[in-house]
Amino acid sequence: MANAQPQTSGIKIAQPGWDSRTCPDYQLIFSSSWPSITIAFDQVVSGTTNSFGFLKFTVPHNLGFYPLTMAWQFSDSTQTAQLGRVFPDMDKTNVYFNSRIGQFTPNTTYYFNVKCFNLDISYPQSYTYLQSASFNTAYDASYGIKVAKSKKNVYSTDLRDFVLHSRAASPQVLAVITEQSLSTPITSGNTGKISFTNPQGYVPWLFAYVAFKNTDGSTYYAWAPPYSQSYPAVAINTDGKGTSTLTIINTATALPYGSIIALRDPLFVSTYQRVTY
Amino acid sequence: MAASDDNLMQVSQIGTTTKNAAGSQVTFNTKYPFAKLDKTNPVSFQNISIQFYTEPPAPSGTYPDIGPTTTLVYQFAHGYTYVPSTWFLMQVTPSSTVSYPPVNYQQEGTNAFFLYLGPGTGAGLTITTDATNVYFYVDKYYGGSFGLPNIIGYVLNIRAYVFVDDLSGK
Repeated sequence: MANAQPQTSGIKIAQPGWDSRTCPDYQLIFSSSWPSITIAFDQVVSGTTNSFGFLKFTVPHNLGFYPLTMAWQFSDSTQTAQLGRVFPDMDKTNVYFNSRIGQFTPNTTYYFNVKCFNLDISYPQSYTYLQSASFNTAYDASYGIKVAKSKKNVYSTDLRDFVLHSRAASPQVLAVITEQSLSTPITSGNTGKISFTNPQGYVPWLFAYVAFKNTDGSTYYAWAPPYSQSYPAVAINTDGKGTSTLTIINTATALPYGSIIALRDPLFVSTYQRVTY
Repeated sequence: MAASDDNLMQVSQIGTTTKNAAGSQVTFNTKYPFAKLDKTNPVSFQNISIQFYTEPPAPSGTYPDIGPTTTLVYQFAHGYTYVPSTWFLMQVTPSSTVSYPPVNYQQEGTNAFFLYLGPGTGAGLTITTDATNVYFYVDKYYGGSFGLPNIIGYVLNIRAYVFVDDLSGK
């Protein structure tokens, strides 16, 4: 697996009073070597179910790699509410919506926002575990970095207008584990297991995918949920520091490729909300 | 810094030239906006713990009243004027009175079962978001068999991200 080395070049901005060359990660406002999640494709799409309630449509992303992909289902055509996140299939060119992502009413049009992140799930990577802050420092609007999107004003107060803004932080990639971590390839009719051991003290954001063969012989990836009783499924360790495993099988249609993608929280402290019902 | 062109800046991983870098080899490119959590918005990154001291209602179990019976158990204002993208990760601390909780962990808190007693009987969490609030609903299913899907004593621990980024695709 390729270990992403700490960058010796790039952009690094420290909080006021700290030396960006020597300060800990959590005192940095921004570092271009952080493997932050960025959005490479973002579109609203729709598809109509058939008379049996099956949903099937394709959305080209044309990124040329297998991107980590998520979609949010809208409640209806008004798109004034979203019902949550789903994980459609994808390959190097397209996102595939099908009935694996939910249950649908026949002859009904469904609307989704689909986002492909600039993260190739077939490309193994391991990143340094950055230390989080134990407390938050106040945001200083007079200091930092911001890059506005094309044709947007850099003085905008709407964070959506920015590619990058030091008032915002992103989830980061910890590791992409693929079948390449196996000592030997999975031969036909056999299975293999890839695993990820979490260095964090909490349950990680962990997504898993396995590969299948398209009708044209090309490869696509399907999400492996953590709760499925059948293939594909990932067993996520729940105590925070354990090992999670993904079984990969090699059959006529299931290809011997798979990925575990582990993310970490952004480098600022969460708030805690206790609710009783 | 002035408003960017799409390819104003790019930083690639060590050993990869910026010219040839693609996908994960690109660590920073102004063409790809960051997924943004506003550090000044206290609800952007939360750990929410919902503990049940009261039993949300269940269907009667007599067809057709078999569920889902949906109950709003929590909501919060996200502070934006549009529908944001969200991530939720739910962990469940089951009641000790349930000897066989088949699911004690869910990646995603939408339509996510956290109690399954048998076919057609259980409880799940659905999280929806509109232009003002994030809503947490418990959905109960009961088909008259396997016992009532009672959840008093359950604790749902939810890691929540509410992103700045909207779902307009623009």
